[in-house]
Amino acid sequence: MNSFFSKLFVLFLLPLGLFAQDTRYMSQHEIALNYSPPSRWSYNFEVTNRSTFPEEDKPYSVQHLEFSHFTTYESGFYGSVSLGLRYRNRDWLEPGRSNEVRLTQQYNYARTYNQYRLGHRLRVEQRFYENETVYRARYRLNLDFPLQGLRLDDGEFYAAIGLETLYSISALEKPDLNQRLTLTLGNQISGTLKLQIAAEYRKEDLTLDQENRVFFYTAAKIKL
Amino acid sequence: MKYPILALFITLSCLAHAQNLKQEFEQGIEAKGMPEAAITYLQSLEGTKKRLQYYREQDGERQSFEAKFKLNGEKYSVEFDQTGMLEDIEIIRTQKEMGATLTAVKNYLETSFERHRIEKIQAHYEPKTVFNTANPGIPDAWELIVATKNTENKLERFEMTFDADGNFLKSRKIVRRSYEFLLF
Repeated sequence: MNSFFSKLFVLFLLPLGLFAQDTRYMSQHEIALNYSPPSRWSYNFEVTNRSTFPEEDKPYSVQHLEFSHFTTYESGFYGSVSLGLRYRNRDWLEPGRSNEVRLTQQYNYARTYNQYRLGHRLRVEQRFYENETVYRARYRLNLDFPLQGLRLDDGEFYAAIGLETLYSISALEKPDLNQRLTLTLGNQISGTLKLQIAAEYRKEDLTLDQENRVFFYTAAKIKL
Repeated sequence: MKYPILALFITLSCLAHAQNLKQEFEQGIEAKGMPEAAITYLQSLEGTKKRLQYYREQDGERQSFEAKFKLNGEKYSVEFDQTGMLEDIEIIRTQKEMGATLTAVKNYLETSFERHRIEKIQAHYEPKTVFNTANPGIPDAWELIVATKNTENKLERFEMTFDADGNFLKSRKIVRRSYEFLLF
């Protein structure tokens, strides 16, 4: 158990050193439904809401509501390809901000090494707004592992560390290079329910003026 | 805002522990949690054991213990029952180390599946009075983890057991670790 708590300790302390002073804090809550029939196809549905933390000059506000769907096909022993459709509504909450429809094409490759699993995720996205379309490519390297023993059983904790690089281009704005570091802590409550919390540090606009955002996520992952 | 969420998270986790009716889990333990007979047996194995780790496995009423370590550059997994009696010794091997047996195993896999990939090979030894770590000899069986694609285009993973000559004995389907909770 000692090593379990030391891992937890490091997981939460590590990101604190990174937060700069001009950082914006956001929270995001997700409910995901995953359906994997006994075939090579699987389906994911998600509802997400994003809000800001209250600050001196700005009160708490909800930024958007999001509905997503991904259809995934297993390809090869370790790979999968997915097609995603996402609708992000901002207009209901902050009138005047454009809604977004997003198409995502994804390839994922994940292999298990004892209790560790290393995943590579490559995504290409088309983000359609009212007045512009943004094209984005992103690559994520993700390591996940159970925190109690060698495999994840009911009631046990797991952790994940992800590093993602994103590159956006559009006709109206300069190219934009972002970096994200995500630390996730989850618990497999039962065979059908996982609860996760995560902290994500986003270093935005690497090529332009610097801006950082820190996200706190909560998520319920339900297996149908 | 984040503290109530954290509290809820921890409460739900504890609830799950309380409601966990079918006890099936394995966890890392300290040496003092191992049965004495198991520790005595491990000490009788010749050579320096590196990265020694102990695990306790619970499956319903059944409890067993496992020690994992490196010895003479080889990865060992030694299983004991509840009282510390040796159940089996397994050593990780490469395809090359299987020698002629590999041909028989591959023949079976090629005729049974459209595609396959051997992910892990373990030489399996039944309990014997003296186990010579310098020269374990011919194993009693081979245990393989194999990823397969069958003719119906389905991807599965099995733990398969072959005898010393590479004849198929049995297989058990392995539940695949889900990934969708970290994928989207």
